[in-house]
Amino acid sequence: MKKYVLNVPNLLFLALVTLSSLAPSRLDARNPMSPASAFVGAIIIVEIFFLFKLKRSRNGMAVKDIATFTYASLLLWELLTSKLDILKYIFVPAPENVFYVFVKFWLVILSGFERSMILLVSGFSAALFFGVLLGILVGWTPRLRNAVFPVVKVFSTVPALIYTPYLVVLMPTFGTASVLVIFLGIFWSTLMNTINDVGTIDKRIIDSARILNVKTNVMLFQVIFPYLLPRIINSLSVQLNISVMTLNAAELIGADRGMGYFVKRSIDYANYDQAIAGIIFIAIVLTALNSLILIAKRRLVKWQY
Amino acid sequence: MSRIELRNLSLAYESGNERFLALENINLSIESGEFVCVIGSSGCGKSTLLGVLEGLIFPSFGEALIDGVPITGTGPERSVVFQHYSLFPWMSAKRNVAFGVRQVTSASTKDVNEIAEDFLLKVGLGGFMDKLPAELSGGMQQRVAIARALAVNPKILLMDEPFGAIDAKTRVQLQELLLSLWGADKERKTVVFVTHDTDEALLLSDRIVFMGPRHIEREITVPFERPRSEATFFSNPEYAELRKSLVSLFYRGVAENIGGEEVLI
Ligand SMILES: Nc1ncnc2c1ncn2[C@@H]1O[C@H](COP(=O)(O)OP(=O)(O)OP(=O)(O)O)[C@@H](O)[C@H]1O
Ligand SMILES: [Mg+2]
Repeated sequence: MKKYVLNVPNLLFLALVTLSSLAPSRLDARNPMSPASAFVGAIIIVEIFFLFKLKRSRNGMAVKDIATFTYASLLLWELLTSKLDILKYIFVPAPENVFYVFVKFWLVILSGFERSMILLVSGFSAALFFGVLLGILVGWTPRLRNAVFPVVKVFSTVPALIYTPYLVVLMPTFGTASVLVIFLGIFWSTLMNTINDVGTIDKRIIDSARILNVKTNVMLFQVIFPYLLPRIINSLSVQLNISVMTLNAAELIGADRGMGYFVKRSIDYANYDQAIAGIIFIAIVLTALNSLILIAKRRLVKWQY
Repeated sequence: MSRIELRNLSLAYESGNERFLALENINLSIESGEFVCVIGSSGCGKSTLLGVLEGLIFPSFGEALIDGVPITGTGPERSVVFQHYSLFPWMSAKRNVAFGVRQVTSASTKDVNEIAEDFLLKVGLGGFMDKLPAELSGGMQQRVAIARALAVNPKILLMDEPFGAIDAKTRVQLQELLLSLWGADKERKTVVFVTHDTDEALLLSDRIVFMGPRHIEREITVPFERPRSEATFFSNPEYAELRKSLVSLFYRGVAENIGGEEVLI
């Protein structure tokens, strides 16, 4: 019990809650302070998450360190803005205001989230599916491999960000453009890695399958694919981050809705509290997606190379 | 049970401009149902010879025939147990065995699973069917590999130092297991078994093919009656005699090799 109550993060937590409940020193008619309720709510969620993680970890050192750092940063932010009014409000909004954005604009944020996720998931899964499928087919056929690999290598070196604006102009709708951008952003590298992995696969695995007289389709999809699966899953989080990056870049250019668009529009109108809230939201979504990948990995991959 | 014949077989590994002659003018006949051990020092070409029979590598000259037909690839009448563990690491023991069976029959999943279970029971792994290879010891993995090789009911069994990396005690158990499974068949399988171990070769085989570098040095018939068990076998004076000559043959080869290297130095 002592482990969960008496520690530095909890002390900071109490200080933070108390401090944010006190009246702010800042009194600016043009930029009124939002209620502290959302900020306090966020801190409580962080605390619950912290206690949960503390319970799950063995010695909890890292969990405590991370919580301490988080609380210390929030405390500093709170002090410098709403309590001591040192930083210019217009550029660095108070945490109360930033977190209140989630209360005020939840509908906009949610619909942007939905929109971005649809684009992200379609582009990401299509690229992954075709990249792996073609990679296995090409990688398995020496002639195709020798012809295709150098070409794919060239394509995969061009970052999708560079032709994103062009595609947004070229495609009829923003949706198709951003799905295509996400697709191209990871398709070439997935294809290249898969061709490479198939080419360098452990010869003993292939021989074991050969001597069992497997047909080609069994070799490709019941031997090579499961053999590569751990590697594919390991590459997912990098690929996901690249896709979110390309999507956000596309949203800066042509979207009318979406997570990245929310941030951009807020910056355009100098609503920095909304911009920061949008950035925090993207970080949370990305973290959640990465955790999903980790769970998938634990379920699907029960063996190591 | 099938007849194997190698005629004037030579094999060179080629990579780029390099050519390495691994087998030179090999002639060998193995009768149906015969248990042949191939023995010889490291690097003399045993695995290469077996690779030809497996259908994974092809002769540069000469012929390799099974029942008079040239080997053009792997085939369902042949099963292989490799020296290295060759199970699929993402499949449980049972699925590994079932996977092998499914490639050669059109039987239902239920029947295939039954066959797999049956053979895992035979090799004493009834309690480990759902374990992944990584959760099994080396000896257990090799037993699964043997079960997989036997479950497809091959006519020819090709084994490349299958017990090479297994401790002496487990090794004896596996040898006896192999002999009992082989002996239980009405129509015995033809077995080609590569080993380093003279005792193992004497215990298991009808005939020992003794290889020197790239060629067959000598063929030795092993006359002892079956079933052979370790206990009666090693006290037999005839056995001791044969073993002595085999060991001296083996070490003469090794001594020559070392002598050759000394000249080089
Ligand atoms: N893929 C290959 N390419 C080139 N040379 C090879 C290849 N495989 C084997 N060799 C060479 O052929 C010779 C015979 O190899 P092989 O594997 O048949 O020997 P072995 O008798 O099985 O030896 P060990 O008892 O150590 O397994 C060795 O000198 C080896 O270096
Ligand atoms: Mg070998």
